[in-house]
Amino acid sequence: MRDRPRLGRGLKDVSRYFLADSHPRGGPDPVPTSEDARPISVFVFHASSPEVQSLLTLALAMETARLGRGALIWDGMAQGAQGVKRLAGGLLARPGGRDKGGGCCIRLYGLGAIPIHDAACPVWSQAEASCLDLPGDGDTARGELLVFVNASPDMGFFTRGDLPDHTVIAARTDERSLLKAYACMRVMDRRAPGSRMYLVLEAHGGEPANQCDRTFEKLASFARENSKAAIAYLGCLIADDETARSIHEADPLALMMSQSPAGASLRGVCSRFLDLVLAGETP
Amino acid sequence: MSPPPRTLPPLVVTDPAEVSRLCARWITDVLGCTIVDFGIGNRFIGSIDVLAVSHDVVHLVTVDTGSFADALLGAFTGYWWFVENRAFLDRIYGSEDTPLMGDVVLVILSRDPPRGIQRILPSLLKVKLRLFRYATMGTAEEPFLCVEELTLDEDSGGETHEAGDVEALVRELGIEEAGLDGDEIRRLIAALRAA
Repeated sequence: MRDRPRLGRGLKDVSRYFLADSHPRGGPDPVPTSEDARPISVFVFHASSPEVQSLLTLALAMETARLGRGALIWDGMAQGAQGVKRLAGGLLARPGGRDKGGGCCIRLYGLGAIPIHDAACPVWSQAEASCLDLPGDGDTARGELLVFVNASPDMGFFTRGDLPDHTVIAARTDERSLLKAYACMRVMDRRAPGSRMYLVLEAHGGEPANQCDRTFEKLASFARENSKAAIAYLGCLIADDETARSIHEADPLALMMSQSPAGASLRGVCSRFLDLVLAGETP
Repeated sequence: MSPPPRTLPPLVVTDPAEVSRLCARWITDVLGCTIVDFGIGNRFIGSIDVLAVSHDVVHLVTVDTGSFADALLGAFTGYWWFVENRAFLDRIYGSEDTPLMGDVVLVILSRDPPRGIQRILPSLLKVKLRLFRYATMGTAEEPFLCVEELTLDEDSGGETHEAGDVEALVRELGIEEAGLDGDEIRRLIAALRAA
């Protein structure tokens, strides 16, 4: 059978996303900012899985856009096969207007476009972020924009370049993954004591959420004793067959039709993070 | 070794599958494990003769039915394969009663483990290992497995090797730039393992 071009995502699919009850449309009132304010930057890092990291970055950006805030993805893994573009799949569109750089953006009905900027070099720079094209038709104030930085997987990414406003660190519950997550926290804390960090723990195969909670308590307690790091817990991200399918088929989990525990946990993590950040709360 | 009744004669069991079955029964009855599956993998990608779980601890059991060297290699490749595919295996085999994401222990059962192996292996491995010697007794109709655990000499490696392990782990994870020292890493791991 001949492949036909897809007309786009189904109305049911899209409306379910918009009508999800985690937030009212519009979300919290944006903080008044000046036009020349710099964007809010958020590092997203997973200690074990670049794919799940990109999935989380994408979901955070989409949730931000759903709240009516400007979101942009700066992809530090653009050179690899695990970058955000591959995961966004059919949501990608060539942007019109001012962005002639060959970049892509995510477009969904009713959402502001989410540009994806491929990092030229894998070091985050606030100056570079200040020059990026804004999403939409330029009606987003730069200070209201959230830039989600899909971190490069090597630790050097955290030791060089500019510091972000927030860092979301995801890890699995095995010791190696937790050790790498802790190493990342220590680097961030050494460079900017008291920096805002958030932890997400990925649970596999029916691992109970309260076990993740206990693991977080152990890690956070150890971090408190050995550094100034204050870490907020965003919850447990359930990795199941739906997660694997989402990554494999480049079908964003947040938009999947099935109400899987994985999708619900991902939406919960994103909501909690944005609740904290947009309310200006510190961990 | 749990002494068999005096009347039981030694029994030569040549069928490896039969030996594995006897060992599986012993793993259930004596070690108190729940068996998840038998004969996973193959000789090329690694094999696990018995995959069993007890109190969240995953037991990767290899039964030596011929050459101890082959069994050892099978146990190591099986362990590597398991760790690499753990998430997938947990989805396939894991359940609430038999989670596969807990600590892993290698279990090797051998008829005739080489002399001194209980001092050599702990100094080379960072994976938890239990080593058993077994013998088959009884009759073909009523076989009986006698098993003795070999006490491993955990001190044979010494502190310097542990330090080497930590350095290797830091290199493997690529976290050198975090500047964590061995003591901090060991304390973190101990804190994570604490009940």
